[in-house]
Amino acid sequence: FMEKHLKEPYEINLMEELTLKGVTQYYAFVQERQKVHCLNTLFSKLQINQSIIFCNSTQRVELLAKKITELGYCCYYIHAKMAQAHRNRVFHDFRNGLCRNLVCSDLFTRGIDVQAVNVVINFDFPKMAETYLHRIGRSGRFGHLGIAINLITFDDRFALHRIEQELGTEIKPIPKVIDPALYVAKTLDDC
Amino acid sequence: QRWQARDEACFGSPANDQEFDEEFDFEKNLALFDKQAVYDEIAVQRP
Repeated sequence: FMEKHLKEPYEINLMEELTLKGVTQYYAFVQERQKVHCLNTLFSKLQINQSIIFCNSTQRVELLAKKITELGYCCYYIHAKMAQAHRNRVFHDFRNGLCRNLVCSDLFTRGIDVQAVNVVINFDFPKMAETYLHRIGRSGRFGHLGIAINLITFDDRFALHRIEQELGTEIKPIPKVIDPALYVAKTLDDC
Repeated sequence: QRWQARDEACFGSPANDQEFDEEFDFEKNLALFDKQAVYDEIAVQRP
């Protein structure tokens, strides 16, 4: 196709613009039935400025958003089956900080570029390395600090192995205490 | 149907579950998954 229609194309690989640099990646080992409990504990323990939580299906996005609201946390949700205009409005409000948490399926094609997001949680671990990179990776311009926490079930072991290999990265077991310096921006008080 | 069972396991219990009063025990659960051993096994299966 390229040879036929493009004259001397300038080729760039946009994937390279996404980087995992600055993002500390952890996994927690869970069973499916423990995921919500695990997430609830993460919400109470982490210093979340804003978070994005990924699920693998639109159905699960809706179920999880409902659950998070029941747990007493504010959350928005967007997924592929919602009208684009609606999605835009929700994302716009999220970006403006009207709500702390966003649950979504895989919609972002260029990585997340919301500066205020310091925690990304893969409630469902993706199957493909490319999906993982789009969820966790930051575009160069916004390559700043953050943590990614992956909820891993035994069924995810092959995907975990493959994604670590393909991206040449390491996803470490979640430590007892996560150093805030890895993901919490310094306030004036700290300086 | 497998997906349905998964969703039920994940979202089936009420949000006011007493279990949620306690912190999720990350360490205890991590101990159930020996990543290196699992990876070694995967490597054997796919040489």
